[in-house]
Amino acid sequence: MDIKDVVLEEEKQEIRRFLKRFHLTYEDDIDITLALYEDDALIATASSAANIIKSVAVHPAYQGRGYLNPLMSALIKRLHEKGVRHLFVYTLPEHVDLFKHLGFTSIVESMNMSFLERGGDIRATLVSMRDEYGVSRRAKGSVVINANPLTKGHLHLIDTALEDCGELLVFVVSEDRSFFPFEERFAIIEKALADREGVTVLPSGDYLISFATFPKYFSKQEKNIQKDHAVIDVLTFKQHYMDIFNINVRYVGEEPYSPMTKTYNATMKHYLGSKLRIIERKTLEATPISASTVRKLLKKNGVEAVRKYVPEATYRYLKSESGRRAVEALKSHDARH
Amino acid sequence: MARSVVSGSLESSDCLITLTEAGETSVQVDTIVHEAFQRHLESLIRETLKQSGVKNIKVHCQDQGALDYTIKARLEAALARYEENDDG
Repeated sequence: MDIKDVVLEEEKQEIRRFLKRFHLTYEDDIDITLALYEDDALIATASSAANIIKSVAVHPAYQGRGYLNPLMSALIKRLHEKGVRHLFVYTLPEHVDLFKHLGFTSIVESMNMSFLERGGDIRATLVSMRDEYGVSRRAKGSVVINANPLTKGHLHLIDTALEDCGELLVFVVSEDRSFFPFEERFAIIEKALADREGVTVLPSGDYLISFATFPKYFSKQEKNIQKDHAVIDVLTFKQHYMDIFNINVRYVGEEPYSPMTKTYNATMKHYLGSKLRIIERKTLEATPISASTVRKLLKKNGVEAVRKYVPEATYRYLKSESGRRAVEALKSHDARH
Repeated sequence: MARSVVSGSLESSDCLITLTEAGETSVQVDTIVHEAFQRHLESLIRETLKQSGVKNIKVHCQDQGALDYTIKARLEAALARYEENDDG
């Protein structure tokens, strides 16, 4: 038995072909891939993208013969060396026990997908976050925003929600896959909301991800898979965040454009029922304001063109040194979102 | 980030030991074998720790049915590596 690092393009091709028979794809964001060989034949493979375990497969003739554990041990150790100690995996319910045996614990399970972690504990993490940010025990409302970057649309959502519930938690998606870095998005929101009573701004933590970045590494029926991820995300929020932070309403903006966001909102409605309130979007000159519109305008026409769509805090950031660099990068890149 | 090392594996009859720098010493054992062995493993780990003299460390042992000498060897290897990484 021989465990190797997959680095060469032709080795990756072999992995791609291997994964295909399991209806798994090899995603672009994968940064580590290990392959297990027995007598020069590929028996099993496992990958990771940042802190998410992906594309794990064992040749059918070799399943249940102890190949998965040495392979996963090697991957876990490799990630540990890189300082990645809190791992996640999205897997099919029938494979949950395999991961539990590797020290993973369940976060949530839906009918089609399970979400597990290793090296962390969601309940303990949220409780210490609640105490660190001095969140009250009273019933309250909540929004989860990526704010990439913060627009007047977000402010409208927050103000409408705040007026409705009196006390609001604003979770900012921590995952750093958006165009504007988390630290900057968070700082802008804190500044923009500084004068509002009853608002607490918190990082979303590692558990809520931006629905736009749901991993979609199961190639089969990709649309359904994305819906499965949305279900997992909503259930994580419902079973853990709403419970620990005593949240009784989640507010979201109505979605006029993206079909994916629409699906996501529909999923939330299904699982949260009356605990979800959809707020009409703020329009400016009959156009709904969205962060993606702002990014498009920024890319095309520069900072001044977006001034009327964003709060002062965002505008100031965009004019700052790091903001200018981000806009330049935006212009020269085709960011995913 | 806190100093941390791992040793061992999750193969059957082995264990994965994770040592992480902490404010105080603590031992956590997850084992696939009967609960009765958990306390035994804990005291084995505490005894080995005591002999090494390393303090303020969080030990996590994920046991896949390892025998005592395996656990002891894995822990000693991890402790040696932990001490080597002293400068972080």
